[in-house]
Amino acid sequence: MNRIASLIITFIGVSCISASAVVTIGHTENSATGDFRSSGGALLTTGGVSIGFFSGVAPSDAAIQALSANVGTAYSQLLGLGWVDVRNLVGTSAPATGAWDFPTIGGTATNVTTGGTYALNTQLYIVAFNAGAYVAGTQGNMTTTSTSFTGSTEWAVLKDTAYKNAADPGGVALLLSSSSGAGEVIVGTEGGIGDNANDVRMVSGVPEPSRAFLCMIGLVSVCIRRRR
Amino acid sequence: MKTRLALTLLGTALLSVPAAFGQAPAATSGVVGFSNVSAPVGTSLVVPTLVNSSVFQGQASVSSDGLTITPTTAPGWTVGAFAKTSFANPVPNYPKFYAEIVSGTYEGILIDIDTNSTTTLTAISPVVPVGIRGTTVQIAVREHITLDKISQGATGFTAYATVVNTYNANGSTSTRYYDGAGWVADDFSSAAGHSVVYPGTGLVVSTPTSVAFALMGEVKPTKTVVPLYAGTTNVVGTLNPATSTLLYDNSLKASLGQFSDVINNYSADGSLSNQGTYYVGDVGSGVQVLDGTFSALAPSATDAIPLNRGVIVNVTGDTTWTITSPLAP
Repeated sequence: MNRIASLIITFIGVSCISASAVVTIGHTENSATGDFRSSGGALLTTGGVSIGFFSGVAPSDAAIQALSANVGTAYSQLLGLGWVDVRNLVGTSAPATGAWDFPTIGGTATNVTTGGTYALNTQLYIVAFNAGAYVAGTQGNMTTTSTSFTGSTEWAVLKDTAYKNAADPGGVALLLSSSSGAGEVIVGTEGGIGDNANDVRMVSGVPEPSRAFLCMIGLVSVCIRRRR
Repeated sequence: MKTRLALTLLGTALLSVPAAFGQAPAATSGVVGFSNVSAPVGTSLVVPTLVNSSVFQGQASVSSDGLTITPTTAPGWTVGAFAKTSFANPVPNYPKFYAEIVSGTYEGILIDIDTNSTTTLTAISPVVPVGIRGTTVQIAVREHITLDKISQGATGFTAYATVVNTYNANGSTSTRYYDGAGWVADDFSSAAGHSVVYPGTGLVVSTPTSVAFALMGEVKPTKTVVPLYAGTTNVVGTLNPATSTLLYDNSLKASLGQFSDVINNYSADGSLSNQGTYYVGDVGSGVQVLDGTFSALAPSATDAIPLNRGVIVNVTGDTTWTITSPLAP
């Protein structure tokens, strides 16, 4: 056979293999694997989790932590950083509605599309909010999910070396219990008193000084100066 | 999936094997037959369910360093008859035969053979678990199933377009291409038809034309211990050529990490689409196989490991899966 022709056919054959997109991503929370809790330590009854990755270069942990200043906009700001929920990937079969929402979390995204920015060993994150739910929107267009988790006042973000996209075909399960090393709970606290060992507490928003607050400080300063 | 089992049972007739190996004792053949498996256009899994007949069976002592195995009755083997391949670089080399422990605590453990003398087998690496070393065990010696063996009698291959992937313990993938006459490695020229497919494992077949395999061999009469490696794709299945294997109460539940290790079941229509994801874990009734929502499978669940297809298992730590023989009582 002509060698060039054979190589072309070979390329087609290889493409045929790499074109498959059958990764699964599972997530569950229970007393064995760990639960998210509110900052006060209560198990959550509203809100849910978003599992995904950052297209392009992932932001630093500090950049993610900075979003705690306004949890209410944290999700939309994540979108600005390139956040992609795996359920939004074209061709993915999302877990049943609510499967990744509190209080009961346990479900699997199947036939997750791989390739492009979502390649083998892409770092995955779990982002949890205490209100609202993931809005599916249009697959392939994350901006259509921007109203997800509306009303949240607390959140948490986890990553772990085990949270990597598995080879295609294959699967991976993301568990809070594996995020126990240093730097793996990016936002939140682990090991609160009275919690199960693998539980992670959310943090509430840490607002930046408001304009009114800054004006008040200014006025107080002026008054103090005048009295002198 | 079009799997037609045409298991030609030759009964439990014990057939003498090959004088070619010259051994006197106990080389027997059990239930043998063949099984037709199709690989439709696209990508699908194939897990052979039959093995090569044993060429030796008997008691043997394992040395304390785990590197040599010596039958208690001199077998009179031809020197090097079981030796691994020794091709010059870049052709890959593989073991050709394995010894397997066929009874007792370690039944199902497989030992790749490096070479042999008239009286002794030398293992490629020291036998594990170490508890086997320095003991006497019952073994069987079989030739490995290879790509060439799987391809015997198969039809439908397309040169340089029918491709198979096997996944290695270190996370690498071996891609083999059909070149019109046999299998070559990913340099497109080195012979690779001797690539080994271990018992209980399989391959991913990708093809632009429908392929029909005619898998031949013996129904494995003893347990099989299948290694499952972290960081790689484990294509595994049972060695039952007659039927699929239910996932409910499957022995996988004793092998996998709770909630973390994943079993994926794929379609056999060439699309390799996910047909079910499973885990293991204790959700209140002991460790069970769980479905994709992390709920325990009911005893009546029909979820199963497909016949001749297997499943893909991802584990977070190396482990093993012990499969019982379909012939076991």
